[in-house]
Amino acid sequence: MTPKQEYSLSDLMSEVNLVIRSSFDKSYWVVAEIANVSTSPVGHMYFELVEKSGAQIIAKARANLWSSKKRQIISAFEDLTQESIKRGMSVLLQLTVEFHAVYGISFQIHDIDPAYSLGELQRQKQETIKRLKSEGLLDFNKQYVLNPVIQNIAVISSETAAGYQDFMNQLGNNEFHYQFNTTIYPAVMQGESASTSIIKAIESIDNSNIFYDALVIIRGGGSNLDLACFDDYELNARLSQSIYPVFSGIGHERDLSVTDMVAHTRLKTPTAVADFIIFNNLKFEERIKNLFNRVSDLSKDAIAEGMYSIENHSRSISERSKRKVNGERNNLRNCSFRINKSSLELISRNRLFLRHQKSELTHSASNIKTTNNYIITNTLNKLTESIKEQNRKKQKETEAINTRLHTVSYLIQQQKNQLNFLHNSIKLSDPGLILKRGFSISRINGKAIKDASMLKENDILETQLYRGSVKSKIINKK
Amino acid sequence: MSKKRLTYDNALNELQNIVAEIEGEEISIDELSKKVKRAAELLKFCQNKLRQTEEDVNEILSQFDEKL
Repeated sequence: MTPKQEYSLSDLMSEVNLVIRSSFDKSYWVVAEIANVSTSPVGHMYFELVEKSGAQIIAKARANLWSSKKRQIISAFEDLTQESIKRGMSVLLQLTVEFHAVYGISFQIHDIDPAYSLGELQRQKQETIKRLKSEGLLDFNKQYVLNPVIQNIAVISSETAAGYQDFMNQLGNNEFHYQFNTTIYPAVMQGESASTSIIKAIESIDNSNIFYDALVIIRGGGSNLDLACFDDYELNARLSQSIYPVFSGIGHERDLSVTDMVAHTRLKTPTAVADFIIFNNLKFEERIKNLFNRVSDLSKDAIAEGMYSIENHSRSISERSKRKVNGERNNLRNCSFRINKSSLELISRNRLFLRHQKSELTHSASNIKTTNNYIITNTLNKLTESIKEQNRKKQKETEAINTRLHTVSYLIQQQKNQLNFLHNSIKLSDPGLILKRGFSISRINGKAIKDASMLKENDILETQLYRGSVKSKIINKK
Repeated sequence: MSKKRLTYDNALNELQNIVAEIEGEEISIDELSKKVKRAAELLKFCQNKLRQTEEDVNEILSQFDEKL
């Protein structure tokens, strides 16, 4: 029995190392699932890689990504996939085998192929879509008919997200002054816990006492990484079956998320969601306004038509009334004229009759008078004649008597005349009688003056008149 | 003359009867002035009624116009 050759552990490890190094002297592209990943304080990343067969792990290894390479590899990966490297992810890694006397076998990561992971994510996404479709959930939420006015809104977002603030500002400052009641249901909007958190929020909304017009799911402003949650089957299956129509505004850069696809209405940004809601309400208001305008226009038309018809009636009534009144007025005028005319005729006829009567009366009277006159004249004549006759007889008798009387009388007169002559002769010789006839006797010194030569101036005469006597002085003598 | 309220138609009827009477010379001079007086009354009544009616119609229509 030869004595046992002894190696130190490190010698053996060195041998193993040697073998491993010589056997695995190149790098290998290995597909694995990340079971765990952590970052050290100095920036190294430690991976736990596994391969599963069903639920069973059939291979498991550690891998390290040194900080010196990490930056370049990770950023290339994230740029393409829009996802951070995380647990559960399938990756294609370029590895070299390392052996360490203390830590044993491990792998050093030299590269991670983003195309592989991206393809894998896409494949998963397509599977999710296919499954949702087959279960009738892809278009399930689109069946909802939106309320005419969207006012009560449940919002799933992160309270601190800029997208949420954008949404609230856009709603609050709308130019039409629409009022909205929004309720925020805060949720983690990216990363691993997002799906669970959002599903919880959906449950709260569906079970709320408040009735909402829409469920709005928005994010924005944060990192664009790790939005694969919106392609998650569980999340989208639940979301599509919300009792409210879903508006999405999660702002994917590249392509549609499954959430966008199941949403009732998908929009690019939270601001766009707010605009959509405002526009929806505006459409309603416009419709109301249009209806009102139509009612108004129709009413105005109807009123105008009525007015026109009434105006016509009014004009026709007015004209007919005037015509009727004028007709009646003419009728009255005619009556008045006829009464006047007939009355005057009647009066005039009666007057004529009276005149006729009068003239007849006058005529008759005149006849009677003439007749009577004749009779009277005749009678008078006869009377006169008889009287004349009587007179003539009497006259003759008287004349005879007179003749005789005249003779006697003549004789008497003769005697009388003779007597008168005698008497007058007697009377003419009486001076008293002469004085009585206006003669006077002037005396001077008692002697009757018979010649003017007996007298001279300033002699006083005494004149005897029929009655009395006067004395007078001679003034002049011729 | 009946005591019932005089209407335009009654008045006009009576008036026309008077015209017929006067024109038909069925009327005596004794009655004439009475008839003519009555006719004048009736004429006045009818004219007033017509004027009133005209004014009423115009006023009603003008109110209507205002409303229009």
